[in-house]
Amino acid sequence: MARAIWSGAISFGLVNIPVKLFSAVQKKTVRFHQLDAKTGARIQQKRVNPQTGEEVPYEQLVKGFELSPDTYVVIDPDELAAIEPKKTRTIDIEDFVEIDEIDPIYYDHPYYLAPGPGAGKAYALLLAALKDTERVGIARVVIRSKEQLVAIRPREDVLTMETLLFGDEVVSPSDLGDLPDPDDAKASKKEVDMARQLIESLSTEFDPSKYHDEYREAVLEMIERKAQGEEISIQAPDEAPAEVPDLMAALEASIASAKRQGGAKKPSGSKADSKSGSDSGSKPKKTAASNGSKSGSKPRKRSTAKK
Amino acid sequence: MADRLKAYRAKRDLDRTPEPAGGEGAGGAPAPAGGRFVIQEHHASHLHWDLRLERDEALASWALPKGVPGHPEENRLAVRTEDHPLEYLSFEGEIPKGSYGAGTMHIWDRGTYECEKFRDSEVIVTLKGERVGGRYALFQTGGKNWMIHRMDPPADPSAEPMPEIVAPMLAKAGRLPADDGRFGYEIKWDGVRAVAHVDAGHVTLTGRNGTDFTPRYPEVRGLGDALGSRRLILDGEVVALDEQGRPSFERLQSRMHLASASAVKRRMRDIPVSYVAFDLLWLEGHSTLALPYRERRRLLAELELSGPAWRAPAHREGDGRALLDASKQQELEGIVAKRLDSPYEPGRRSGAWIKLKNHAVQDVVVGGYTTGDGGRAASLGALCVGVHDEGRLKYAGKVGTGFTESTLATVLRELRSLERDDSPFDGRQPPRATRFVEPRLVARVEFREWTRTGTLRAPAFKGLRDDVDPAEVVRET
Repeated sequence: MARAIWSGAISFGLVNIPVKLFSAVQKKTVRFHQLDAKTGARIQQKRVNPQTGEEVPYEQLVKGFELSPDTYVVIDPDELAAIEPKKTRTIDIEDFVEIDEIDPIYYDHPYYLAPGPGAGKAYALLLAALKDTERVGIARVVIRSKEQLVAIRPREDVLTMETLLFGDEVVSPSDLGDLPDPDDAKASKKEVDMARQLIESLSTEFDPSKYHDEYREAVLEMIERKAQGEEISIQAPDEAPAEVPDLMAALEASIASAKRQGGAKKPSGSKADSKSGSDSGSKPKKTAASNGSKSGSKPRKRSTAKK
Repeated sequence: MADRLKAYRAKRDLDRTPEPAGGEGAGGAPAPAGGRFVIQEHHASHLHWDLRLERDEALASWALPKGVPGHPEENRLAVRTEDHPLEYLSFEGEIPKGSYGAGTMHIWDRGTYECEKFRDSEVIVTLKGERVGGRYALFQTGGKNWMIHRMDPPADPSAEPMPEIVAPMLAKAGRLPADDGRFGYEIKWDGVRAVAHVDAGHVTLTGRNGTDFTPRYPEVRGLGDALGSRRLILDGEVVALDEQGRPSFERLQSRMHLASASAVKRRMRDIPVSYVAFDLLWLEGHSTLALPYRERRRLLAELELSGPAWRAPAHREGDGRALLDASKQQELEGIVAKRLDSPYEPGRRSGAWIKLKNHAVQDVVVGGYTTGDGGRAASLGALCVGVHDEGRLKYAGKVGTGFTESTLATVLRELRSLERDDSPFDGRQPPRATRFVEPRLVARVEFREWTRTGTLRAPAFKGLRDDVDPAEVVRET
């Protein structure tokens, strides 16, 4: 089971729901370490004063804010600690808003909230109420001495907490320059229609399981093979696809089996009529010819149970 | 010696490849006028042949992308490669991936040669091998490349050059023949007709109207690799198989109209195509068109075509009724009956081939369309279609069902660019609100029957096809 990274309580009005916080993301980037290519030793980083060349002990480090090149305001860790947000253990919901009102650009990082000890009922109640009203709670919370704006959102049977960017953290598009002026770049109705049709022709439902980080998978596979002592090639691996199924062999097999099952009886004749005129995109396919194997002569017989 | 193999060694990690390192050499007197030679077939990233001539205790080498020409009129490219060690004369094996020249290499021919001339830019030799025999010149052209030219008369005196285009023979619609035993029967493949030229590893697919389909169906290129140095022409069909292994014209639609190589690459994964070969038209310098069907079929079967994207399914001799019934049971389009003793008649719609359909399917020319109502308002309502009769386009009705969102969009996109003011139909006209188009699109429709006035009853759209010339579209039944 995953380990909670924080525990506290959701609070709104007089309600207080103990919760545990889990990250909803498992970053899967493959990480490498730096080694000395000659000896294989791990590289160590040291904090060194470039003027003296000597290592500086951790206790002697202070933070400097650069005002202008080479001019720093020095801040002691204690000074920062004094103005840190108060470490509360609550997620204070301030408002409930409709989910569509939050531009996805503000979402930063997702977490799951699980009910704390004894909080099951209250947790389920909040979950159900949010679903019912189709609302999202906007709250403030302090995690690791940083105050965060968050959105509490129901997702199936769990509450999620998305940290939100603050308004001034989002870059304004006007900083990009070079965007077309919508008035100058007006498309004709025909062009818009064509674009719309193109989009519709490619429209589908979003299925996250369809997309994979293929680069990462290739890197991991390479690491594994290399760990097993295999020499690694620089070429993409060939796929070894199956051979084209032999439909003719399948038909011959079905003829043979029809003949075995009592000579004169015809395999089936009156199927074709039901086809004409129907919308061809979604025709149910009930029968099966051969597939896959080399010899490929195993037609499945029509199932009478499956209509 | 050491100098001549320096380039050879520099390109290889000799601990990893099974190739020879190149030893001390035989040490004897240099071969005066010739020596041994080898030609290796090398299935590297591109199939090619390596010609190596023993010379001063190493092997002078050329890569030949299309092999050794058998005819003096076929000059072929040769690329000079680094000298190889003598031990390479007997090398066969797998060069591992990631190594230089990775892939399988086997000896295609070997023997001895006589040397007439051996200069830096021109070599004339007479090869005496098991497969190759004759006098050849290798010479450097203007640039860096070389050519190989056969100086003797053709190895096979009766050999003809490979024809560039063979128009496929077409079938007539009909009924099961009465003289059943004189016919062979095949599945009617519901795809796109394509003639495949396979020329020493290189495949070209040509459609009925002469279009080069090769870039559109890259998976079929592997057929060339599988056939090695063989040169032949196949007739067949590009098909997209559904989950049950049956050809589906509707599935193929999404591969037929792709414009860019990257779009093809993306679609290849979802909808792979296969090439189904059902006839052999030319083989190793000889036309097979005049041979009877049964004999062409025998030669085709000998090729043992079966791979990830190609196959030559068998035919059945006699008892066409049984195959027609089985094809109906599997909901296939139908079968084709071919006279066992008939020659191949390029470009002809011949009575020797009879197509037997399980349901009525007809190619039609789109001459206009009506706009839709309901869910399809402002888009396509129905296609107004026709067929040619004595060169004139006759209206044959409206096709308003069978579309999917994506075919609708494709069809409409095509129609919009073809609009014109007047009707392309001769005689009877479609409804008044029809928007006319240039009669350039060919659609395939399934329908119940022809009415007495020559209209399609209950037609449903199956897809657009760009391998058929609209002028060829006539009533099939």
